[in-house]
Amino acid sequence: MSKNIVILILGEFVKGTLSNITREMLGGGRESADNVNGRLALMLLGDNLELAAKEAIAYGADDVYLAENPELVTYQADTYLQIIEKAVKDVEPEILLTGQTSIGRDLAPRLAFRLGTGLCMDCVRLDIEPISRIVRMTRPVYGCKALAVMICKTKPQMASIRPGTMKSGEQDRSRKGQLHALAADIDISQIRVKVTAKVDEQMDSVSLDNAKVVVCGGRGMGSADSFSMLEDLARLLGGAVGASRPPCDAGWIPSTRQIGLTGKIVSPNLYIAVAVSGSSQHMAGCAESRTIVAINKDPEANIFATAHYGVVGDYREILPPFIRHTSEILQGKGGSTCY
Amino acid sequence: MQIVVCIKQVLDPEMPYSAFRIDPDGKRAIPPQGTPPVISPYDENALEAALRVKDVHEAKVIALSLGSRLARPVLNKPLAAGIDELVLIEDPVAADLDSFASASILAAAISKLGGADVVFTGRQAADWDAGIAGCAIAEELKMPCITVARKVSVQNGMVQVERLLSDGSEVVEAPLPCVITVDSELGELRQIKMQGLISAKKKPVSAWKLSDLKLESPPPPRCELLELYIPERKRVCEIITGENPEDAAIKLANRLFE
Amino acid sequence: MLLELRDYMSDMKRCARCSLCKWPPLAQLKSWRFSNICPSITRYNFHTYSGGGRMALGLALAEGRLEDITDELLNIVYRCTACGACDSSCKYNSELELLWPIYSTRAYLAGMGYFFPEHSMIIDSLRKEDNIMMKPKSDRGKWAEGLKVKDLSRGEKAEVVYHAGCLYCYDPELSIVARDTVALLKEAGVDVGIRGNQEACCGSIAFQLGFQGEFIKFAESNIDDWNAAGVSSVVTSCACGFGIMKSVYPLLGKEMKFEVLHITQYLDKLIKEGKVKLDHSIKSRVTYHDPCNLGRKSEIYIPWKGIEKKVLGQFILREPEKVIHRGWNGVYEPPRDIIRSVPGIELVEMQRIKEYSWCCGAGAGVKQCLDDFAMWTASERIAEAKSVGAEAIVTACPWCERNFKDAITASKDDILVYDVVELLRQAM
Repeated sequence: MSKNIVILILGEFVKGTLSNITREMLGGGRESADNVNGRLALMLLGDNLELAAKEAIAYGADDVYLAENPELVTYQADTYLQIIEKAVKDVEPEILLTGQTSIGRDLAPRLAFRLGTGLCMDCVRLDIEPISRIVRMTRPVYGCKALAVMICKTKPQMASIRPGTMKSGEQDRSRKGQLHALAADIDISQIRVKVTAKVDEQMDSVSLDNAKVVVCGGRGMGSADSFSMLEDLARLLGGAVGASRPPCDAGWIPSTRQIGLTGKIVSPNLYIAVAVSGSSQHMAGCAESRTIVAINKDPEANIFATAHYGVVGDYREILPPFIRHTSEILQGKGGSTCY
Repeated sequence: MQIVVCIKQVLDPEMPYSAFRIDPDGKRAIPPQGTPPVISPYDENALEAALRVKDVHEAKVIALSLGSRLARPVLNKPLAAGIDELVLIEDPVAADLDSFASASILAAAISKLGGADVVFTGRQAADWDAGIAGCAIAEELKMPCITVARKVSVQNGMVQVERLLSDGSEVVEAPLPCVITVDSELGELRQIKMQGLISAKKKPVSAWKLSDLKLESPPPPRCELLELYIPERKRVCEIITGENPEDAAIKLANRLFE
Repeated sequence: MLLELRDYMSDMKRCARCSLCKWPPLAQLKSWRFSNICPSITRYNFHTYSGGGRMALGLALAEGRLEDITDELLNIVYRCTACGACDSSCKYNSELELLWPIYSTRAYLAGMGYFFPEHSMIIDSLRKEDNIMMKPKSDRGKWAEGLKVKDLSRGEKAEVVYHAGCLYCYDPELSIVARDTVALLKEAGVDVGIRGNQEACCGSIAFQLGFQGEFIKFAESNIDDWNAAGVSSVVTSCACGFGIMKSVYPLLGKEMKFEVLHITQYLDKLIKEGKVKLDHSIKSRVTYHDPCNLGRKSEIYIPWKGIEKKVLGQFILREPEKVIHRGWNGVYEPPRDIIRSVPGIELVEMQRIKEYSWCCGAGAGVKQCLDDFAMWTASERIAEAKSVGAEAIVTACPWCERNFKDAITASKDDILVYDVVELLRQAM
C-alpha cells in the first residue's frame, strides 16, 4: 500500500536540535505536501533521536523515520548510504530532499547513483505540479550568473536545497505525527573511510553563521593588513568579519571566513561589503541579507545591482570617517544599533 | 603508482560580466570572443594535488578530459605543469551529457588506462557547479570517495586526507584505490615555467573517441533541462553621494544608524 | 564586447588584394632599400602574412571555411606586431579597416582556446600579479625607491598621476628613464604622484593578443582607480599604454574624468612654457623613431556601425558617414619639438616616418614569443637610421628602446639608443 509520502527529507541536527536547513525544508516541504495532498516525512540518523523527532513533527513532518545506532553519530558516507538506500526503497517518496550542506554534498550524488535517479544540486526554488507531482527545480549555474530549470524523470526526484531559500514554519507542539524505526544494523566491513581526527577551527566570539552584522572585504582591500579596519568596524557593530574568495586565496584571511557559493552562506541583518566587486559566486553567499551596503570604487560594480545602499569611492577614504561617525552615533544611542 | 586527474574545459568563470550571454533556444552559454576557455579552477587544484603526490612518490600522472571541442593550447597546461600524459576524449555528443553520463565515460576511460591508484578531480566544475561527477566516478569504479580535500598524503597503500567541514576540518583515512575531490584550499597549481613548456611538447597526447571505449551510446541525461536564462536584476541601490568621500561616509552612517 | 570578427565582414570581403598594405604609399617612397612597411610579409614572403592576407584569413575564419586550427595557422596569425602600418597604407586607396580585423581574428581564436603557450603564461602573470613581465606584484614599486614622490596608493593626492608601465617598473636598465622622468616633472614644479605597488598593467598586450576579456577588466579597473584618485591628468611614458588608453579605453563606455597624455606631449608643453631649462649643448646627429602606438595607433578609434549603400554599382555610401582613421592624428610633432629644443642637436628624418613609420618589432607579444622576428625587424630600422647618418636613435617608448638595445648588442653595433627623456636629462 502506498504510504503517499510525497516528500522525504534527509534531516540534519546540531547538538540535539534540528539544523536551520532542516527546519527550512520542513517548512517548504509542508507547504508543498499540502498543495498536493501528500505526506511529508523526515529521516534522521544518529542516536537518541526522540527529541529531534518530536521537534520535526512540531515543524511540520507527518512521519519521522529514525535510524538509531552509535555508529551513526558521526556522518560517514559508507554507513549512511547503507541505511538510507534501503529506507528510501521502502518509503517510496516521490521527492527526496537533502540540504546543500557539507553532508548533503557528500551524500546526495552517491545516493542518486545508487537509486538510479537524477539529482539537482543547490536548488533555490522548487515548484511541484499538483497532479503529476513533477518538480521544476531551479538552480544557479555558471557561478550563479544564470539559472537553470530542470525536471527529473525518474523517482525519487532528488534535489539538494540551498540554505536560506525555504522558510521554516512556526513550531506547533500540538501537531501529531508518526515515528517509525528503521533497521539500523550496519555492516562494518563496508566502511572504507575512517575518521581519525576532527579539528574545530577557532572562531572569534561572533561566528559568521549567527552574526547579525557582517563586514566583508574583497579583492580591492589590497592586503592582509587592511582587514584590521574591517575588524574595527565589526567590533563596533558587534558583528563578524568575512571575505570574498580572492582575499582567502591570497592568504590574507583564513578560508573559514569565505562567504560565497563554496564558502558560507549568510543572511545577517546588515551586510557591509567593502571593496567587493560582487561576483555572482559571492552574491550567492549574501544575497539574502536584509540590508546590503556596498563601498566600491567602480560605479558599475556588480555589487551595486544587489545592494540597498552604496558609496562609490576608495574605501581607504570612506571607511575611516564612516567608522568614526558611526561610533559617535552609537555612543549617543547607548551603544547598540537596530541591526 | 598511477594517478589519473579528471579535468574539464569550461568557459572562463572570470570573464567580464558583459561577455556572458546565453542562447535561450540552444540552452547553452555562448563562448565569448577574446576570452579563452580554461581548465575548471577546482580541477587545477586537483592537478596540484596529484603533482604533490608525484613530488614524493614514484607516480605516473595522467590528465583525462572529456569534451565536445577541446582546445589543445588550453589543455596543454597540465603537461607544462608536470603531468606525464594527456588523454583527450573528444566527441560532439559530450556537449549534451549530464554528470552521471560523463562519469560513466570517464570511468570507462580510467579502466582502459589500466585503472588508477588515486583519481583526483575538482569538487565541482565551474560551468554547471553540480559537484556530482567525482562521487559518481567513484561509484562506477566501486571505489571510496573523499570529498573537498585540502591536504592529501599517501603512505603504504593508504591515503590520509584532511577535508573541509562547515565548522572546521577532519582527517580521514582510506585504502587505495580511491577517488578524491579537491577544494581550492589545497593550493593553486604551480607556476608554469619555460622549461615546462618545452618538455610538454615531448609528452604523449592521446585522442580517443567514444567508440574507442567500447561504450554503447551514453545514457540520456537523468534530468531534463527546461530553461536556461540570465535572471533580471532590478536595481534598488540608493547611491549616497557627498561633496567629498568623508561627507559621503558621514551621510551613509546617518542613513544606516540614525 | 569590443572585438567581434563578424563586424568586419564587409571590409574583409572588399579587400581587392591591391597589396598597398605591404609598402608605404608611392609618394612617400624614397628608396628601394627601405620600400617595405610591413615587417611580417617582408620577412616571411607569403601573401597571408600581409595586411590583405590577414583580411582573407579573418574572412575564412568568420565564414567557417577554416575548421581545423593548426599550429601553422597560429604561427601566421601571431607573426605580426599589429603595428598598423598596413592600416595606414590601405587608407591611401581603399579606406578598409585592417588593424581591427587583425585584433578580432586573434580574439576569435583566443575565444576558441587557441593561442601560443607563452601567451597563457603572460595572461596568467597578468591575472595573478597584475603585470605581463611574470614578476611579483609586490616588487612593482621598487623602481621609485628613494625618489620622494607622492604615493597615491597611500592616500596622498596629486594633480597628475604618472603611469610608469610594466616594462619601466620591472626592467632595471630602463627604470632609470622612469626615475629621470619623475625627477624632471618634479623639478618643473608639476604636482605629480605615482601609484607604486598598486599600479596595474594598462592591458594593451592582452588586448593586442586577443584576450579582450582580460583587457576589459584591467582597463575598467584603471579607469575606476584614476577616477577615484581624482587626478586631472594621467601621464604615461609607455607608448603602448598611451596608445591603448587613447584609442580603446573610451570605447568601454565608462566616464573618464581625466585627460590622458604622453610624457612627450607633457614635456613639450613644459619646455614651451619655459619650465624646463636646457643648458648643456649636445653635439650629435640623431634621428627620431616614431613608435607605432604613439603615432598612428593613438588616434581615437570610432567603430562604425550603420547602413551601406552601393551607388552606380561602384561607390559605397555610408549612413552615418564613417570616420576614416588614417593615422594622421597621432603624436608626431611634440617629440620632434623636444629634440629640436636641445641645443646643438641635429635632427635628421629617416625615410619611413610618422604614420608610415617602420615598426621596431616588439609589439603585440612578438618580443616575448618570437624574439628572432623582433630582432630582425629592429635591425632593419637600425640600418635605416644609419643610412641617414644618425649617431643615435631617439625614441619615446620603452619597448622600442628595449628591442633596439637588444638588437644592437646582438650585432655589436655602435649606434646609440636614447629615450627622449634621457636626451633631455643630458641637456639639463
